[in-house]
Amino acid sequence: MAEQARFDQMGYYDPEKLVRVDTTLPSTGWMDTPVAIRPGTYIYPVKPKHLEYLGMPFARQWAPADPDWKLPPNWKEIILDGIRERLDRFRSFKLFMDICVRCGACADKCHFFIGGGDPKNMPVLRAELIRSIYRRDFTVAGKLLGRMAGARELTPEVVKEWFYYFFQCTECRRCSVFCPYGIDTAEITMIGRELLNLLGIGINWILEPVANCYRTGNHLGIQPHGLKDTLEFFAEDIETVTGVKVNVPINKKGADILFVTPSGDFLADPGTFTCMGYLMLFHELGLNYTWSTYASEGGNFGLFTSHETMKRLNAKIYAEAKRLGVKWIMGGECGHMWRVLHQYMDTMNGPADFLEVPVSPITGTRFEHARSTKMIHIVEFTADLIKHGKLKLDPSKNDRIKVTFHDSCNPARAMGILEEPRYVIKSVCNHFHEMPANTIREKTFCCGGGAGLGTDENMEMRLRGGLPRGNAVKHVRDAFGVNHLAAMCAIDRATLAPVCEFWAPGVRVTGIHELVANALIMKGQTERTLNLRQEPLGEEAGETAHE
Amino acid sequence: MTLESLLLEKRADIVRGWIDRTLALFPASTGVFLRTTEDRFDNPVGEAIFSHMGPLFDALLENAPREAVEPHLDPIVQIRSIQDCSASEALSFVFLLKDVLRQEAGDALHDSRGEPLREFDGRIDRLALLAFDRFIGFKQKVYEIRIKEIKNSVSTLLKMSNLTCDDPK
Ligand code: SF4
Ligand code: SF4
Repeated sequence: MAEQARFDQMGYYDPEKLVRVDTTLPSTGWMDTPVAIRPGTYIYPVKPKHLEYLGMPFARQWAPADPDWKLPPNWKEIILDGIRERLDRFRSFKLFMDICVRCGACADKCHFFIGGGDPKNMPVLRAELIRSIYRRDFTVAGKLLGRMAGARELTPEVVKEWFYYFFQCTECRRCSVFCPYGIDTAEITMIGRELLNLLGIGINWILEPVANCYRTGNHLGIQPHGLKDTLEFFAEDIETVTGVKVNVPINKKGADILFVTPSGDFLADPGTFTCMGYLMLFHELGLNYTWSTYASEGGNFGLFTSHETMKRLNAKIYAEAKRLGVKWIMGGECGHMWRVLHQYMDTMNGPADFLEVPVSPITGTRFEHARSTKMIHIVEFTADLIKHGKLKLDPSKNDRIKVTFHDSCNPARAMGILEEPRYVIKSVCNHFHEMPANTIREKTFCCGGGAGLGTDENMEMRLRGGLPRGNAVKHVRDAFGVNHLAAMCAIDRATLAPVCEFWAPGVRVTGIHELVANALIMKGQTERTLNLRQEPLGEEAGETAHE
Repeated sequence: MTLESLLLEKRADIVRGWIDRTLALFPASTGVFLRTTEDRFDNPVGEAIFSHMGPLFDALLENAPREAVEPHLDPIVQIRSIQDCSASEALSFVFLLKDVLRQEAGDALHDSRGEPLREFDGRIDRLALLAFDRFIGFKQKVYEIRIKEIKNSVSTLLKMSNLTCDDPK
């Protein structure tokens, strides 16, 4: 800090300075600071068998901590060709490379920077990791002036740095909300990861689910009989709690609606309780719908891999809708599924003109906004049911719950579904409290584990990224006694549990349809005394959030 | 004049110096962000440093018991426990106080022939030991969370095979 103004001088407080310090050239050194790749700081690399299964190149054993990553001999050419091809294909990428004015508005908006303090996690610098290469090899100024124009040479160290920082971005797009030019660093990260994949560099926690999904229809590799057993197991638990035996229609030809949810809901607590919620709701409505063992994944880790991979996985949903002859598709409480759906599905695998515009068979509402994709979000569907008074609800059953709502990055920023979840939650819970305004809705803070970072070997990284979210949860816990955090995303339901346990102990994570199901009065139910977790329902029995 | 009253007189300078040196542990641009971003939800790390280091110093001055120190130590140590740095880097902020004391109150301390200062150094050392305990506690929490998450991620399989067992507490 020696060259800076003293803390009691105004210059010290000039936020512009922070960006200038690290990006104005001649650089004070971010380009030359090699990334320290130590065990515990990176996510495990992909196993060769998954790359082979997916037909992706350069499958090999390598370790991030090794000095030699066994790059293919022509690796440099591959990357530069890869950049060239993508500049031609994606106008947004070309634009994002050219138009950043380094104003710094995005610099302090990334949860990884806020929680961890590493300047290379400032979105502007994350983008510079590629932009500096772009400048040198694709712009005249960069070719002539080199470093003076913010350009640098592509070396194996740069590849390592990309691996480190592009897998430290959750593609949450919070930064893009603040950029006056709308530069979306998430898309730059996506391209960065695509380029790395060209060299066989990826992480196992993304590519194993991708390979599983390609093979069995879902990320977790649950086979058809396994899925059937799982849903029936949930039905048994529901019967224990409600006395009602719910239907579990699977692969039913001629159903009206195909229901697709992230596979995390089948296997991982607390998503499992949300999955029970779907089963109960659909049963109660007498909906003519079906689960599928082929399109058994709402999530799409292809989004975190490459555009091609995303398309391959997404194609299964329409293919299955066609095979089963349904009218339209409903999606469960998933996050990034909705980015794929809203931004890519229609052009990638549509138009789905063999389907009908979704119409709720219960209320008659026509979901015009989905007239092209033919797919709606379950929270839209449920909000519409409640609005039309079609559900019998007893919110007092959730009186033990003081809930806040975490806007999941993708539904909030890629889909704009902000009101429906709040409306549903308030209809089924008597105690709802918002987190501070700069941490919700479009400005929501990421869970820190999205975009394929939700594995366990990088738990500290996730907790750093989760700090801003956890801090806001802690605030509502302390101010209002909030003890539950609701989220409509399977990744969130998994990743926010550790975030809350570390930063706001006493706050549990729940899906929205778990709350709906607890309040739902079903025909023929026995006296409900237990919630779906088989704990006492209703009035608070004196426990506090701080237990 | 006792050491305590002297340090109390210099409190503002000492706390400011301590915070300043702690922020200097971060890269320069991060330090500026932590210092200048006022909203506590936009800047939780800066908030923890600014709101707890003063009271932490007060607790040392009062030679307060562990229970009174922890509420101000924990928020800082918890954050440092998951940041990308070594344990020694994470906890070095405690020792920085020794330098700050000598810098801010050096002359006056000279008069008191160093004895009380050594005693105060002892308090800082005890704070460091306590910080170490808390740091390990948070690290342990991270590992517990990791294990719990792995179990949760396959909870249906465990339940279907009757393989679940919780801590009875
Ligand atoms: S997309 Fe999210 S994680 Fe990535 S740089 Fe922007 S704010 Fe950070
Ligand atoms: S806000 Fe936009 S223009 Fe400004 S530095 Fe960030 S990416 Fe560049």
